[in-house]
Amino acid sequence: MTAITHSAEGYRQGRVLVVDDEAQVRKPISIMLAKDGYEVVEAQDGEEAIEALQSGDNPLMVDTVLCDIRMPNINGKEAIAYFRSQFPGVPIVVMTGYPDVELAVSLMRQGVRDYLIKPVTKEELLSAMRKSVDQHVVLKDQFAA
Amino acid sequence: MSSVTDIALDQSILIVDDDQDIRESLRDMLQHEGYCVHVAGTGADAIREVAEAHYGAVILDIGLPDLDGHAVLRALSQADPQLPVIILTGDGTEHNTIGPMTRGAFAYMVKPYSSAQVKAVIRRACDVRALSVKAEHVEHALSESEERFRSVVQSTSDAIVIAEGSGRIVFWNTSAQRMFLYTDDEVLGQPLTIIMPIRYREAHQRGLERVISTGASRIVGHPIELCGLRKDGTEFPLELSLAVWKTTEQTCFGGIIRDITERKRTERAQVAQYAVTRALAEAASFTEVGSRILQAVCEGLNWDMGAIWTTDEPAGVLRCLEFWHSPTLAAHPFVESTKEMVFHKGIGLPGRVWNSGEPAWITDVTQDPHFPRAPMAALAGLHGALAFPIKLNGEVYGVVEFFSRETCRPQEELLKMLGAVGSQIGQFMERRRAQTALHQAHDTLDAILLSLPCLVLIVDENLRVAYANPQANAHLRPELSTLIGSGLQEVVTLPARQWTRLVEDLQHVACHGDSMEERDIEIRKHVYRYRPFPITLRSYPRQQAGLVMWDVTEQKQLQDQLIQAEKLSSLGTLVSGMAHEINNPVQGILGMAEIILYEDDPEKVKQYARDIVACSTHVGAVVRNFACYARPASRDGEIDIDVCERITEAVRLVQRCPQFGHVSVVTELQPTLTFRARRTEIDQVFVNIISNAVEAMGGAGQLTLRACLHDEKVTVSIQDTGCGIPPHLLGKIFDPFVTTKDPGKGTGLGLSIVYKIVSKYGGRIAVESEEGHGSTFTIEFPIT
Repeated sequence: MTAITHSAEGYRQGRVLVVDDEAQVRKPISIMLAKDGYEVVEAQDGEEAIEALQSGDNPLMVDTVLCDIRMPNINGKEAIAYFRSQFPGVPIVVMTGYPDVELAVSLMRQGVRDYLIKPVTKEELLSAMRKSVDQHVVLKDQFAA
Repeated sequence: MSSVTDIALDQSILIVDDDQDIRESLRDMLQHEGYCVHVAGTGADAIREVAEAHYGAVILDIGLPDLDGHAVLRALSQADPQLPVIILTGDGTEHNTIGPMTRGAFAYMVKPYSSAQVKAVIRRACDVRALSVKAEHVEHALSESEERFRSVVQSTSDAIVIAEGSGRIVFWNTSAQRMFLYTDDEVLGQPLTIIMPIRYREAHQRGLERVISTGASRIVGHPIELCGLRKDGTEFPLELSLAVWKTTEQTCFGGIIRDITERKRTERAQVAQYAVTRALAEAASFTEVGSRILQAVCEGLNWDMGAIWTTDEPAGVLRCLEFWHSPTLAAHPFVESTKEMVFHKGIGLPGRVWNSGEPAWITDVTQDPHFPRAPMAALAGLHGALAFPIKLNGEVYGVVEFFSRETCRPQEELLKMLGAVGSQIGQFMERRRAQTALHQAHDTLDAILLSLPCLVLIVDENLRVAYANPQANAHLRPELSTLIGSGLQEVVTLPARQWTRLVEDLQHVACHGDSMEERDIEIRKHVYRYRPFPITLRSYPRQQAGLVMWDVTEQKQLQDQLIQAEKLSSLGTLVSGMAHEINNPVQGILGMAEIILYEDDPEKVKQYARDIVACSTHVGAVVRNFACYARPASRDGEIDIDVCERITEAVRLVQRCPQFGHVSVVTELQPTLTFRARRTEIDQVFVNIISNAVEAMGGAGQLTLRACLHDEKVTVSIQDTGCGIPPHLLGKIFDPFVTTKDPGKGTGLGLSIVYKIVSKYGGRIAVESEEGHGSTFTIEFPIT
């Protein structure tokens, strides 16, 4: 399954990869991010997410991965471990319905930027995205320069 | 030969004369007078006649041709000294008249004589002869009588003592000699008091005087019992029959005395032994019986004091336990000191008996160098002492000691009797000890049964209550004063199924004797756990069974709480799944609500709203499901459980857990399987085993669920392809706190609670497992 890309008012804020197996969750989030000016790429599990990153010319073109934990096939933990080893520059924000402190700590140690617990409001979501994307854009510009 | 008879003895006359004329004339004359007359012509014939026959008189001619008349007279006198011989002579010389008279002749007649003279002389001679014969008879009779008397007197075993009026002994027989040990010389002429103890002498003297002065004796004709004194100073009991008679000069006393030592001893021994036996039979305790025994023996055997000593093993001494004394010895120093004394083994009379285990006696304690209490005994006037052991299985437990004012020389019989008393006392003590032990055991058992927090019932083969402890009474039928005799069914009211099972259990133990498993039953809103136990009574061959029940209502509540707690703890595992299950749709609802705010397209808004409804419905279902599972089972009643539905539901619950991963589920469920139980408890069983299975598979594997009806039982098997159970844990997997999980991951209570729930419904659970290949749990529930 290929990633679905939302683009509302053009590429303005940055590009976000949204990974969640449930469309009911994934769709509204993608719409909110797109409305806020992000270019959104969707993946419904870890496998698709990895494919999406690898298929792009430059992985750095994704400014943040918003990733669920509990998913079929390759789950969030496995996918995150892969991203951190293969694309350490890409920031990751976790979004989960499973409030587990241990897991949160372990993910943060792996370099996960933020840890959102469902249900996440629009403000929480955009605020977390903005911090993560902005930081990445700055890093990317420095790297490009 | 003469024809003299005894009747004519004094009337037969012998006439001795060589002159036939004289013979014949005398014969005629005397025959005419009525005499029986014989004649002899010579001296030799005369002597022969007299030797052969008895004559009243003889007329002898002094001048005989063959023999001298004097010599014939001498021969006749020798043959019969009393025979009157009348001399007949021709010359009246002194030689033939006075001479024969001096030599024993009765009379003489000088020829010629007148017939009157002859008749007178003969009559006189015959009279004298008759008199002398009579005298001889009398003398002979007397002498014979005395002979008989003497032989009787001497041969009798009774002593016969005759005394004259002053009380001096004039005769006694050999038995008396043997009885009193004096020789004839020592006793004849001595006063009667010599053979009686000093203490009786004064009374004897008074009695003697009374008899002499009044002639009346109170004791004549009535044998009385007295005490005799031997030469050696010993005393013995005797029976006296007294005779009093008067001669011309004085009053005489004759006593027939019989030694009744033997009789007395037998009597007393019998009385004493009977008294001891009675005392022992009636007594409740040894302390009570002790003094009664002593009294019985003392009174029976004429002892003045008795004491029972018991061994104080730790101290190694004998102590006086009980004593009895005759009233005259009250507060005597000897009694008082005896009470206070202790004896070491081998010391004193009790100590010696303790040491030897054999009876012992002291003839006279005042003369015994080994008798510490001698001076005081002397003061009390006690002499004889005897002691025997109280024996029990050959061991000496005590000593019984007796004292007597009389010296002691015990007979074999007495020692035997005392030995019997000793062993009787020993047996009594043993019996009492056994009884006490039995009572104690009984009391202890009673106390235990009374204080047990259990209900104990014993029923006979007709299921009637034979015993019930008060707790059973109070719990089961407080309105009844006793349960004994009631039918068990009235006491324990149960639903038919449980009743049948209870009866089966009781019959099983009664027949097979082994104790069954415990079961729970509910009576009067209380849950009791019962265990039947067999009762085997040697004296009561009928089958009985006991039932011990204890109130587990509270325990049941606790157990319910425990089940709930474990469930909540397993919910901790489930809750992660729950959170995801809830939070995801909520995220959807939230997200779609957010975008609706900016959505102008009414179609899209409607679509979002529909999605929101769907998400909300889902959340509601999840929460309901969850709430049902979390609900405490104790609030539910038993319902018909649809086994397939519950298994499916349990899988759905577990599936939501993150660890469920990619486990595939295979089900082979036979529909319409039902049995009665509380739903939440059955859910807990399935959820628990399924979530364990899932966990064991680590997110990948196959879960196979089967349910079918097999042999009247709902059989459910839950099979996984997980890590399996290590063999060393397999046997105790249902024990509490046993877990195969990593530390901190499991409580170890899950399967123990599963086991409890399954058992509660009369079911069984079993597990098969191969490490590394998976486990299969098989659960059976009876459908009845």
